[in-house]
Amino acid sequence: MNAANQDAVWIASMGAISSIGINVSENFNALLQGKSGVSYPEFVQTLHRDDLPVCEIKMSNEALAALCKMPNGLPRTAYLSAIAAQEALQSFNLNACRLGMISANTVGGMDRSEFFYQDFLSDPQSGHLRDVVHHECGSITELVAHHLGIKDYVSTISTACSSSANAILHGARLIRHGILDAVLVGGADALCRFTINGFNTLMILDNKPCTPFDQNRKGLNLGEAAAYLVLVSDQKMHEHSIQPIAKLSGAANANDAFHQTASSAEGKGNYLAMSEALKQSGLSLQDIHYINAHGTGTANNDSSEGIAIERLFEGNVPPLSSTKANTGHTLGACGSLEAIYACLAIQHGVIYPNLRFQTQIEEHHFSPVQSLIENQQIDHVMSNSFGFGGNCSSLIFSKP
Amino acid sequence: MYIQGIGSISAQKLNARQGELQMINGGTSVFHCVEPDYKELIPPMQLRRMSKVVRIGIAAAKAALLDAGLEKIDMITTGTAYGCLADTEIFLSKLLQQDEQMLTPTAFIQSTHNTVSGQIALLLGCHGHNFTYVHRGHSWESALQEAFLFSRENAALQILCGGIDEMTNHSHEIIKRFGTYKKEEESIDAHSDGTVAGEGAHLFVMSAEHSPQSYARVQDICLCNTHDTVSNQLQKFLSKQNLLLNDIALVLSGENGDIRYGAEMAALFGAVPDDKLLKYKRFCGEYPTSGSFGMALAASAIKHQQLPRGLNVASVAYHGGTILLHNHYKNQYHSFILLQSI
Repeated sequence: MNAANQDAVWIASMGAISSIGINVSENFNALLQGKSGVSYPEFVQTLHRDDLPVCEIKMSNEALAALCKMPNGLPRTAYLSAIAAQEALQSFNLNACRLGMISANTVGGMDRSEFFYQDFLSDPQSGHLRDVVHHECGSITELVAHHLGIKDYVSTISTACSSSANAILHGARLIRHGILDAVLVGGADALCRFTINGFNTLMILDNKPCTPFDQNRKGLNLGEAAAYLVLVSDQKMHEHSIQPIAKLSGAANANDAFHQTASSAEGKGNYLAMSEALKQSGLSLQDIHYINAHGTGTANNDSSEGIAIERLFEGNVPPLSSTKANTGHTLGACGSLEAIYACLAIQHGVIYPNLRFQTQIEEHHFSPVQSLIENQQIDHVMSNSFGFGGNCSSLIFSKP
Repeated sequence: MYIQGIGSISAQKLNARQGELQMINGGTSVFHCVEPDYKELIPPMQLRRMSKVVRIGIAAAKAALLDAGLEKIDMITTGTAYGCLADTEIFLSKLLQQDEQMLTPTAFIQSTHNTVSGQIALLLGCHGHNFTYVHRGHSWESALQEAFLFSRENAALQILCGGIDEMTNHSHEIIKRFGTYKKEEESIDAHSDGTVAGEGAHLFVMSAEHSPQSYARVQDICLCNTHDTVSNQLQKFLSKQNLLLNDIALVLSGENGDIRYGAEMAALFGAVPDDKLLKYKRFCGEYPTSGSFGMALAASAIKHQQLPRGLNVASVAYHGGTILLHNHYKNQYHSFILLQSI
C-alpha cells in the first residue's frame, strides 16, 4: 500500500438518472452523442408548459416508483434518488463496511406539498397529511436510506446549487476521520412548480435551449436528476480488492459573500474554492486536463466563473465545457451528476462538447470545447458547482 | 473543541456569559422565541426584508461573535430542519392563489435552505467553508459534528456553528394535525400525549484552542445510528471516555413532555437521580434543532459551575462537572454530547 494514499478517498461506483438517461451508461452515451434533454414539460403540471423548456425525465411518478420498487404517492425526488442510489450500490458488496449516506436536495418533497397546500389554504383541516409528511429535505434522504437499508450514518445537506458537491465533501471528510468506511454521496431534485416559478421570477430562465458560455446566452433551463457515488476508504478499497474509478484528490467549499443570489463580478468565491481544491490535490495548473464548469447559461454565472478560471489558470485555461446544455441545471443533483461525468471523462479519456456554443463571451479569452474529444489521456478533472447564498464548491478527480 | 462564544435566542432570555436566565414563557400553546432589540445588530433597511428565521439567525450569530470577542470567523456551519418556512409559505401560497402568475422573487430567494448561513457570511464578510445541514432531528448535531471534525483538522480555525428553526402559524397547525402537540391549554409538564412547540436560534463560536473566554470543552459527539439500541450506543459512547452514567454530574435530557416516549426515556436515564437530571425542553419547547438550546444551557452551567440563575428547577443540584446533553425528535434522531470544564 502506498503510504501517501492512506488518507485517499476513492470513487468505487456510480449511479445516475437525468433527462439524457436513466443510468450511468445511458448518460455517458448521450454525452458522447451530444444529446440534449431540453423539451417542454409533460409530467410536471405547470402553466409554463408551452413557454419554459426544461430537462425532464420522461417517465411518470408511477413508472419511476416501479423502477425503484417504492410505493406510489411519494415525492418524485425520492424516486429519482432511489433509482440512482440503487445503481451506485448494486455493483459490489459492501459487507463489513460502516456505510453511510449523505444526500442533498433543495426543496424536499415540495411537489407533494404543493398539492397539500392547495387544500390547506382553503381549510386548515384539509389536505392529505401523507402529501406533506415528506416536505423536509431530510425526509427524502430518510426514505431512500431506509429503502436501501443504510443505517450507520445518514445526513442531508442543502446549500442550493452546490448541495450535492458538498455532500461529496462531507462524505469524504467522514471517511478521512475514520467515522465511515464507505459512503453513498450525492443529491436529487425533481422539477416542481415551486422551483420553476421561483427561477422564473428571477428572470434567469432561457425560453429556448440554454447556451452556456455564449456571448448571447439568455439564462438556464431547469432540469431534474439524481446522481450518487460510493466513496470508499483506502483501507476498504484494498480489503475488498475494489478497482476504483477515480480518486477524489481535492475538494473545497468557499463563500462568495457578495449577494444572496448573484456572483461577484470577479468570482471571488469561485476562485477561492477552485484554488483551495487545487492546493489540496497538490497538483499544478497544467495537470488539470478538463474542467466541467458550473456553466449554467446565465449572464452572471458564466461571466464570473470564466473570469475566476482565467485568473486561477493564469490565462492558460484547460479544455472546458458545461454539460448543463445537455442536462439543464439540476440544482441539488448537479454537483454529483457532473462529478460522475468528470469520472467518466477520466475513465474513458474523453472531453464532452459544450452544445450550442457560437460566440465567445467578450470579457473572456477562451471558448469552451465545441466537439467531442476522444482518446485523450485525462488524468485530472475539475468539477465546479456554485449556488445561491454565495456557496461555491470545487472538486478534483484523478485517475487511480 | 471549546465553546468560545454563545448567541442565544429562545423562548427565555438566556445570558450564558452572566449565567442568568430570565423566564419569559411558561410553556403552554407555543414557546415563541423572544426576539431581541435588533437596532444594534441589523441595519433597519435589511431588517425589514428578513423573515424571523433569518433575523434570529443573524442576531444570534452577531451575539456569539460579540460574546467571543471576535469580529471575524473562518467558517460557518448550521443546521435547520425546516429552513425558511415563512418565505416558503409566502411563495407557495402566491403561486397557488395566483395560478403561477405575477409572482415576485423576494420570498423565493429567501426560501432557500442556506439563506441564514449565506446571510451571516455576507454580513461578516466570511469567505470560508459554509454548510447547512437539513437532516430533521439531526440537523444541528450534524453541523456540530462538522465543526468538531474541522477543529481537529485545523486548530487555528474560529468556527461559527449553530441550530436555527422557526415556527409559523401554518407549520404549527400542520404539525399539530400529526398529533405531535398537547392540547392548547395543557402545559409541557402535563402528563399526557404530545409536546409543546418551540423555536429558536443558537449560534456558537468554537475553537480547538481554549482561552479565558472559553465556556466548556465539547469532548465528544454521538449521532445515534439505527443499527443498535439507543441505550447501547449511550453506553459505548460513555465507555469510550472511560465514563459511567454515574460519573455524569448533570444529564440534560431531551425528554419533551410526551408520555408516549416515557419508556425510552426511562430506559436511558431511569437510573439518574432527580437532582442530576434536567429536562431542558421544558424551557425552549420542542423543535428539531432544540438541542442547541440545551448546549447553551450546558455551556453556561459549566462555566459558572451552577445552573443559570433564574432557571426554575429547584430539584436539580449542580455544582460543576461533566454534563451529558441528550437530544431526540419523536424518539428518532437521538444524540449525545459530552461537555466538560476546560
